[in-house]
Amino acid sequence: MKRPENDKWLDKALSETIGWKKPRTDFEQWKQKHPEAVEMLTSRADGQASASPGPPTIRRIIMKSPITKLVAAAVIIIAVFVGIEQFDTDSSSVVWADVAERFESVPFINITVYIRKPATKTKKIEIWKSEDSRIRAHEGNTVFFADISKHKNEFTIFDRSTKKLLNGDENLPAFICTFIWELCSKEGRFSLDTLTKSFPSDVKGIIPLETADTAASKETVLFRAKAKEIAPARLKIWALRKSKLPIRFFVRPEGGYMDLFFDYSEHKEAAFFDPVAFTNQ
Amino acid sequence: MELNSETQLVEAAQNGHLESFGTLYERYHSSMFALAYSMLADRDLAEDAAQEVFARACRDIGSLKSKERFAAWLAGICRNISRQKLKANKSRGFAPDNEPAVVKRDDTEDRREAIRRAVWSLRESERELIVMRYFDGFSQGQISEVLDISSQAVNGRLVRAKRKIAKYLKRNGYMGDDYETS
Repeated sequence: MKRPENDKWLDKALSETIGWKKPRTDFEQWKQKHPEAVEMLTSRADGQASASPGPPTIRRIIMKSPITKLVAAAVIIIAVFVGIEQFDTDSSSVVWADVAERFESVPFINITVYIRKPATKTKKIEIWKSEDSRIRAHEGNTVFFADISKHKNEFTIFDRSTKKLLNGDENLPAFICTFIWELCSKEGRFSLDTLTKSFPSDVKGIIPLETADTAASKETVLFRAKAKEIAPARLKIWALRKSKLPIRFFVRPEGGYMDLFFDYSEHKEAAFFDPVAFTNQ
Repeated sequence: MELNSETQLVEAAQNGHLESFGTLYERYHSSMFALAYSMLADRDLAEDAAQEVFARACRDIGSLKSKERFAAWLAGICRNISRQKLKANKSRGFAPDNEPAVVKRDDTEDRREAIRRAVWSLRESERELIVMRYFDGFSQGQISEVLDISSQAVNGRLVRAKRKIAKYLKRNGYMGDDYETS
């Protein structure tokens, strides 16, 4: 049998099976079949919708009389006060997009990851990211360096105690490199959205999960995956309600688990991320 | 003015410039077809879905805020449309895990069928990658743009998906040597 790496036969087989007949790309034909869509697009050019006067709107009706103007102003002021009051305690005000965006905007971060794959022991990985998107990670006696802003699939890997360069060693835990790349967005930032996309495809989104502990839910918000295959308990993400920063990310695939804890307090100097400085220490 | 960059094209299309939208159509029709095909496993349905994607894009392009993420936005529309079509055509599709593949080593069509089954036994995200890669030979960069993941992640997932396919084929009596010699 051939080794799995030598997969030219598979490339050939897949190309022949999947790519045997290409579709025809013809915009002219598409335009003929979709005149309404074309009309909708081209109408944006001359601003037809905004040019027409249209029926009188509620705004126009209110603004005609000074009394209705005053009443409307009073209603808005009351609504604002009620809204502020609500916002203080409202449990549904944090959405996943806020948390994901906030996470991507943090300048530096330390992530502690516990991973257990089926039939293996739990491994602990420590990852640090600097403001300029440089990475350092520790796993056992191995230390990894990478620069995700350059976005090359390259790591410099050392034995932590002897400082010997290990790149090319077959026994290296390659899953750490894969895991770090799974965390990286195209823009060279760590992204939880990118990480969730590496899970089973049926994750349709991340939605809040109701918690029984109302005291805890005042401080934190809990999310779960919206998916058919993943039960609510299999993917959980905790975030701080006020800052919207995620603090824990837990996923339990078949036979294993992955638990990530986020720390935003530890700032490391540039030398910490420099492989040359590491070997010269 | 000649519009080259994607964001310029998207912006022009948002302002109703049909020619710019046409350029975007030419650029992404094939990848939307591949994406839809990876979900629907049916060429006609995939073609319908790809056509519909651009009709919906015409309607909603004004709501697109991140112009540089046009391809990923389009892919989102494509997935939604494909899912709707899938629901409406539940009787279609493969059941690779329930039906053992019949292996006749001298029969090309059976061999292709086994490969198709192997591909459609993958998770949706892996299947998307495989179909895009082998359907029209999209580069890792193009796939990365459409699926909105880094090219490193594309590479890693591609390797894993291919390993799964090879395993599936081996389990069903196919090996690389068989394929090459037949």
